[in-house]
Amino acid sequence: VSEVYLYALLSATPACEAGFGVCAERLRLVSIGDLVALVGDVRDPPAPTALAVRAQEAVLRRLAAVVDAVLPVRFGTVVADDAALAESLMPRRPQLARALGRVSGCEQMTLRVWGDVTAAAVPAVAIGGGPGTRYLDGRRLARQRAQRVPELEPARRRLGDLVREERAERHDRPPLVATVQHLIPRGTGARYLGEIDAARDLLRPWRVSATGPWPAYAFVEEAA
Amino acid sequence: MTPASDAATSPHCLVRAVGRPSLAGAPRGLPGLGPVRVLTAGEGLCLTAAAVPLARYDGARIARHLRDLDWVALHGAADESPFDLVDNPLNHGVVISGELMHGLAGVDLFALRLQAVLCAADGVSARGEP
Repeated sequence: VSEVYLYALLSATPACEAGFGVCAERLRLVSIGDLVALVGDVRDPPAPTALAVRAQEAVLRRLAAVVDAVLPVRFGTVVADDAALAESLMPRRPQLARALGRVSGCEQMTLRVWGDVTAAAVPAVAIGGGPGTRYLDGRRLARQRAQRVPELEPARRRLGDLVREERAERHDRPPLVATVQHLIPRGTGARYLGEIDAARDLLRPWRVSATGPWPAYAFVEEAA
Repeated sequence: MTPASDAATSPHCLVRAVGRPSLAGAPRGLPGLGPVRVLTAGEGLCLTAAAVPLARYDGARIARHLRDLDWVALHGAADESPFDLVDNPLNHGVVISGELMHGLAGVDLFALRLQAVLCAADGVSARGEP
């Protein structure tokens, strides 16, 4: 008995063969309304090894070369059959379609900011109001701060309109200060890395490492 | 590298293939490199390679930059970071729960994530971070 392993959602049917998947299975496409799901029939889902993750990444990269929008699905997602897949995805079609539109023609770059966390901005403290208001304001400020990475401002100025969208997350794991994901037009990864390289002196004392381009894993939150 | 005026050729890997291997989805490589191309090496072997601007990657410049931890971080991990390669598929992407089964036991995922973090920590140590 096989299960359906879900790789990605696509904006259109690729013009070429879908190829083979992580378990050497032939990949196939399942149309669900306007969505196209890339799936493989597997006896068992792939074991979570670095090799399997790498293979799944390769499948997505191959498809991204021939389809405008690829929405990656989290590793290890299986469903009983195509009917169950459709049943699950149909109610979320609007969100998934919006997410596909967002990542269309784009890919993701990942920045990690390293440095002495004691030099990071001090979190704002909520003042005024009653205890309930202060509590809620404190939560809001903490959430806002968790998504702000002012250390990257010099790089942002250089990157300019190269960045379509940004997702940022601060960490409490020194020396890692923050992770920032940027959605950029496909084919601009080299220019992006060049701009980051050129901004290094301005970014000090923070060190920034950049990887990518990747499929747009971090920009599916509306559909996640 | 084989110097040729202002550019050189950087070989990436040797491939044994029945036909000419497809380059669809191939990583773009380090900043400033030309497109990856396939060179026939005979006896069913092909070499993937890219043009390298010597102004950016000549031996003296690389040797000088190897002491610059930020440069190594940027150029050495330009296309593949072990951490991001594993972290992205495991922690991001469309999540479908409830109706769908997830085929992986939590303990396995934890072990894999731990390996990824350790890989990343090794990389950071190599770049001189604590």
